[in-house]
Amino acid sequence: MMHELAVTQSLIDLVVGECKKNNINHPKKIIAELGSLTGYSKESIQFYYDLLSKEMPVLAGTELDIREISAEISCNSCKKKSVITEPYIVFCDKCGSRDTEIISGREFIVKEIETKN
Amino acid sequence: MCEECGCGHGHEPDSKKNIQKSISINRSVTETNDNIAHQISHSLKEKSIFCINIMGSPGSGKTTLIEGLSQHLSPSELSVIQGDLESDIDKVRLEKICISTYQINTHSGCHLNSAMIKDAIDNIGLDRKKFLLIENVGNLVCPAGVDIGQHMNILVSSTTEGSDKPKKYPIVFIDSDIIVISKYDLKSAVSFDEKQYLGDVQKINNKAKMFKVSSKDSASFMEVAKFIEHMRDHFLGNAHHRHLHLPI
Repeated sequence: MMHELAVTQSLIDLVVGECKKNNINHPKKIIAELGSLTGYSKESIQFYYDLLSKEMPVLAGTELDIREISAEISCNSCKKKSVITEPYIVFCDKCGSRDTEIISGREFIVKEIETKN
Repeated sequence: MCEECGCGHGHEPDSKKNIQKSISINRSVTETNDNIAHQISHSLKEKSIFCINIMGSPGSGKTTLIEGLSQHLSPSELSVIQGDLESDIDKVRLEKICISTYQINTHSGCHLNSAMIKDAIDNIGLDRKKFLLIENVGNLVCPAGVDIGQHMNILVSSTTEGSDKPKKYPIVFIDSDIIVISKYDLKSAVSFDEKQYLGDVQKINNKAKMFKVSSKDSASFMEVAKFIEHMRDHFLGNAHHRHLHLPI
């Protein structure tokens, strides 16, 4: 559980900084994307967000909307892109090649801030 | 003046109330950590120092791997950063065999981050060092995916932990360039199903280079040492990417 504490604090710092930069006083919603290969738990991030955001007046009542993103691989043989889900088998699902590259799933991004100014 | 009631307080008309705006941000939550990691990686490469992040469960044999490597690489060319919640037990252990070691105690922290590594590097001398080995906090979950400026990831995975670990903890296996199966001499005693283990690793990371070591067999570490020497030469000579792409 401790794993997500630091990264949630980083998310809050980033959002508070963006609010200041963009003169946002009352963000309504934070939209974030969380890749399935980050190892972070959406539920734990939400738990820490609820806890830590109480200390930040600008985030009073601000919803955190975390959208989970599946990992994708690209096949070096047939060039097809495929979604990989648990248990993370990295063979191409079209041609069966083992020569693949992970192209997404490691990201944790703040995509948008919705606001009512 | 307020168009709604003429009160002079500047009320917005209904049509302008609650206008929802969406501001595009598109910034990585880990960018502060990643920027420091990038600086560390670049700075070490400039000094011809190859930095390896060693991950694995508590007691898997991470420190034993460093001890084993030091028998085949010159200890004077190694520098180690040790990460543990508490104590300097591993630092003392490595300094006994003349390996320069800096201890980080994370207390409640479950993994090292790039700011900790930068602070450590600022406090150690790296003159004439060829390798910076970072022994991460013993943990099969949290260190994976956290960039600390390393050029390569090694996972130490012991037979005593069981052959189901690639299935149970896939992400750390996916992120590893080298997987060292440690305590290999205990394979039979603990009924380690090597075929199952290797098959599962192949499915999730078919690029990792595999090694088998035993603390009772000093020679078993030689191949690992030779390989990381080779990868250092390759990295300093040819690498265009910060993380290596190893041969299958």
